[in-house]
Amino acid sequence: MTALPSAGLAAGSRRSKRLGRRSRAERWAPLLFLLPAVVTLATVSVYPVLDGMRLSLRNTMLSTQEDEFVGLANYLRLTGDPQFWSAWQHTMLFTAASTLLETLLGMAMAVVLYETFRGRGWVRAAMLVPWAIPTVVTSKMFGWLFDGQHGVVNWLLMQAGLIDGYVNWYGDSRTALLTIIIADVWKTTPFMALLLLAGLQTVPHSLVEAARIDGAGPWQSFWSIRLPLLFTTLLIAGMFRALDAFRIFDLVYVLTGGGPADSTEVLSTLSYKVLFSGLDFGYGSALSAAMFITEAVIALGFGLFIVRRMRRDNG
Amino acid sequence: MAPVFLKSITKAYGAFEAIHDIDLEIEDGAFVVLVGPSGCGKSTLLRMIAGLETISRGEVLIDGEVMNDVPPKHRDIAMVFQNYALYPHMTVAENMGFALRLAKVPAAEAAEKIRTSAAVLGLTDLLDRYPRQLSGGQRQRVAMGRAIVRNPKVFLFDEPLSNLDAALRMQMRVEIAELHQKLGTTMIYVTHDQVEAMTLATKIAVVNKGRLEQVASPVRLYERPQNLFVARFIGSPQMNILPARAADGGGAARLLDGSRIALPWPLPLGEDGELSVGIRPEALLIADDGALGGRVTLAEHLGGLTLVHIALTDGAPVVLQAVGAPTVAVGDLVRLRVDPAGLHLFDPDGRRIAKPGES
Ligand SMILES: Nc1ncnc2c1ncn2[C@@H]1O[C@H](COP(=O)(O)OP(=O)(O)O)[C@@H](O)[C@H]1O
Ligand SMILES: [Mg+2]
Repeated sequence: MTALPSAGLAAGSRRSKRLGRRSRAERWAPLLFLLPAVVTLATVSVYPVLDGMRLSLRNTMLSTQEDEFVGLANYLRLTGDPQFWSAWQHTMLFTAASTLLETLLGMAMAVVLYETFRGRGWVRAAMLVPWAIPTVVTSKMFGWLFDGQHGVVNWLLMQAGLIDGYVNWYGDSRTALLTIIIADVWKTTPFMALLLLAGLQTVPHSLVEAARIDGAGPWQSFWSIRLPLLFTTLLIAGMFRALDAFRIFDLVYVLTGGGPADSTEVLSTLSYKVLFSGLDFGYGSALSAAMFITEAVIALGFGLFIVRRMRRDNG
Repeated sequence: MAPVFLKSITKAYGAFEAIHDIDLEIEDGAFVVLVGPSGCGKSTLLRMIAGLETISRGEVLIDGEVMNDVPPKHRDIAMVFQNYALYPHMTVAENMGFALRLAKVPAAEAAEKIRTSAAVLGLTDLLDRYPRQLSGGQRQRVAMGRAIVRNPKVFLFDEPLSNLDAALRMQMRVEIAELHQKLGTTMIYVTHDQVEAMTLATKIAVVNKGRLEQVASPVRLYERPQNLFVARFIGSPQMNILPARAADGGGAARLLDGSRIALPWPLPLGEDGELSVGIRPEALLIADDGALGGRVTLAEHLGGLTLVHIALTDGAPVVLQAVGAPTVAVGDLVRLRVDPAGLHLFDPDGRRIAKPGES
């Protein structure tokens, strides 16, 4: 009576040893498969970020060969640097304005392009042209269009009687950021429109038909049916757009170089100047870290909102 | 409640005509089923009545008014879609109340209407749920609830039961029939399932390739199919159709295997004139003195009924439906008699050859 259970126990432990060996291999296999991606991300993404953080704690300066640990000195300098705060404000303003405008206009374009009309395929394809043009080219183009003396925009507005005298668009600190926002909206709205069009196409047509029968006009069926069902897509597209807009560099660098009077200086152009013109790697890294943190906060804000929304939709 | 008239309705998608010149009269309070094979144009026809498709030619009248240019929301109709088309981001109550909200019905009145409609369909406990939290049958009910809460003049159903399993389909069929009796509202119902059509309709319109083949009550359709298409489509199991020639001066039909079926009325055809003989499965009877002969290939016992599959002497397959369980085994040679009540004759163009006394 007592021998039997112990024999069973021994057999059981043998079996569990065999099982253990197999499950160890099963446990390692997925990690092995993840390794290439982890190594790649670690070298091109994680390491630079960490190294940037490290540099931001030093006074590394290529011109004077200084390179010492200074603690949070660079960050302290940052908090009291009016140049940084003005660039931060410009960047936030640009991000908010361009994301909002591009989302709204993109939505409107998507709704139009969703409908059937003659030549729709061509229009959809042509829409991507502004987005496909290299940004440097866009900048130059807008430079000529909005030129203070010879620009066609001034001429057109003058002909239409909307302005009394030529506006020095990007040469005037009051209108320079606006000009950059207009250029960015022109370039990126179509892309936004295509993203939202793809979203619109996932809303079953029968829902819109049911709404029509229920008595909804075009506006009501947009507000009550399509928009709520599109909202998650809208948030995701908005998040990507906002994160992208926050890094704005080429448009500013080519069109205004950050001027006039730093009125279009954004964080990317500022860090670029500090890092590669001033060769102040320590302070430049602190600037970049500040950008990174702001972006992380924006992403987190959107992310939380999106996750909450998705939970509600699928819970 | 309202009558619906379709006057020479045509629908063209570019060069392709999906509906050809259909006339249909639907009386106030009728339950009309549009039935036909997949792709025959039933949905298109229903959607033209709903206002979801434009009408290429002809007129749709609801309650005496021409509706061609009236948008769906002003037609006072409700529609139940095959995939239910429930708004996924609204609760059951919100789904049902959407039309009322758009019509600016006061909130208290709307809530009352939603409550009574939900009670009719047994949805009271589900009002706060979202569509994704419902079973297929419950979604179907909500779709119906959304329709009845508005108390429209006409209900339109587009294959509302085809996404349900067989048991649920049968149950919902009964509920829809009861709903019609209770509300008395005109209902137009599309299905490809002739059993649904037979059980629900006060009037069936058989559609084929964009044309109406026949419009009649279920019994009339079964007893007097006007052509071969209707004869084949209505009835389960299908009517047996056998090619034949007139014989004995029109007093009999001679099948390809040489056997003769005596006709109780003379054929209006010359000797050897071609025709098709249709025999309902229940009109074939096993009898030693039967005119037809064949071999049993299969017997399907359905409980109260048995379907006996038989190959005639020339190999033509026929199905016999018997009450109870006849003592036949596969391979048996049997003689078959034809009950004239279930015998139908069709000319070479597939048109019914009328029996004496038929109008
Ligand atoms: N929007 C459309 N464009 C072109 N052809 C269509 C369209 N909608 C339906 N059809 C065609 O019309 C015919 C009838 O379709 P439908 O009414 O959906 O058939 P069903 O009887 O199965 O409901 C089909 O041949 C279908 O291919
Ligand atoms: Mg259909």
